[in-house]
Amino acid sequence: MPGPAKPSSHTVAYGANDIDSLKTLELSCERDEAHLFANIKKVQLASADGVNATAVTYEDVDDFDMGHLTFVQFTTDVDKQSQMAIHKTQGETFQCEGQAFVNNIAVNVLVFREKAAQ
Amino acid sequence: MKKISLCLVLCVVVFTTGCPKYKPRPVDFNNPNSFVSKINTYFADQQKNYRAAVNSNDLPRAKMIRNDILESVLPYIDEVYMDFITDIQRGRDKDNFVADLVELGASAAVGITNGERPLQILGIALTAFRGGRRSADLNFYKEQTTPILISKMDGNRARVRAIILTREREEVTTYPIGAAISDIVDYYNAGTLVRAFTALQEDTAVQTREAKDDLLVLQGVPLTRPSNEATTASAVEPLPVLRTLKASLDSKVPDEVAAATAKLKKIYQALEADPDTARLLKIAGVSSAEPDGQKLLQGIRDISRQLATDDPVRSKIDQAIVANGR
Repeated sequence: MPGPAKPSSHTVAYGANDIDSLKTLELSCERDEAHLFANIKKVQLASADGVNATAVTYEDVDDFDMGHLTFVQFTTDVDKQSQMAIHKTQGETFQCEGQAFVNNIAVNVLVFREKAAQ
Repeated sequence: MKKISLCLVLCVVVFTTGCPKYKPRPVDFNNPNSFVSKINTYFADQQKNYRAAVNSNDLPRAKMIRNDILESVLPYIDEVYMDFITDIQRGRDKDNFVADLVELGASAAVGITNGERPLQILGIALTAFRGGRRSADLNFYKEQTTPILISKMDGNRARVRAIILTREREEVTTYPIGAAISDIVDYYNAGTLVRAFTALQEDTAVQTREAKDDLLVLQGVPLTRPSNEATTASAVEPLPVLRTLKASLDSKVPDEVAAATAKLKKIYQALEADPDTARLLKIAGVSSAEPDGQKLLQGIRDISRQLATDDPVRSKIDQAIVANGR
């Protein structure tokens, strides 16, 4: 018996020169989650037709619980653990870890989703 | 009372941090503790011999004495530098180890703590600690790792050392003892953190980190324009409307389902009235004539997912949903 259909995914590329801050990447991903009715799954460095870019993969979802993302940068493993702990205390859910180009510089990022407003 | 407290805090900050200096302190030629004075004192006899040789026009001997002074001083500076970088490395390693333990301990505590208030306190404390650690790293080390700073100081010193080696071949008429002592001071200063920070600022190759080798290679994927606050705000505006419509359709309560379906038909009618969005509905094979609310809702998802995320037509779809779906 066939299993449930795998959700469709979309890959969106943001140019390394176009993302001037982590906030811009965060706003772009929130916009695109809303437009694709999908949730962010992966953030990784990419080369789009020879140009440095950040590739973000979104997976389709049936609900409309998108947006309210928080992107944070981390440097070391200890830094990452601290960020995970801090955002947990704020009620945010961890989404994914990856790398992105910010101002043409590759940085490590963590993505969280804010607690839904009551 | 609040004003007094505020003034007190401001005064404490000013007096503990001090007023900025706008120029170096006046030069004191008689200061026996200055680096130049110590060189002159230590090599007083050699300097006398140097002057005597110059005055008697024995320039080869003067050159030999000058180079001898240079080669005698430099090992002392090298020894002091070695102690300095060992202390920086050891000190910073120790500080980082202790700070890492504190952060890891606090992160672990978050994982095993119950209760909102204790979690809140831990979160605030951890945030404050990380902020203080980052501030120290930024203000004392300009966020550079110790190996990078040492490497930059090594490079600066090597550059000055090369200049000294080259100039030792010059005669005393073009490279007198004063210039040699100036180079000694420069060699010493090249092994300081201040010079390392300045050199790193100029070194743009250090500012740009190269991308990792394992880049995902995309072909035929166009770059998407980034968003801003206003664009994102209008993109997410339809979401609560659609969420409510979905909840109504999922409820299976006939009146709720009918009301939600009616609103979805109004959205479709608005989209059919615009030629740009009407074309999309035709391609997707959906129209306002569809009686099933779930299919109408799925149709909106399908149309939206076919468009590029920064396609300007999207704003028309968003506006139609917000205007007709509430």
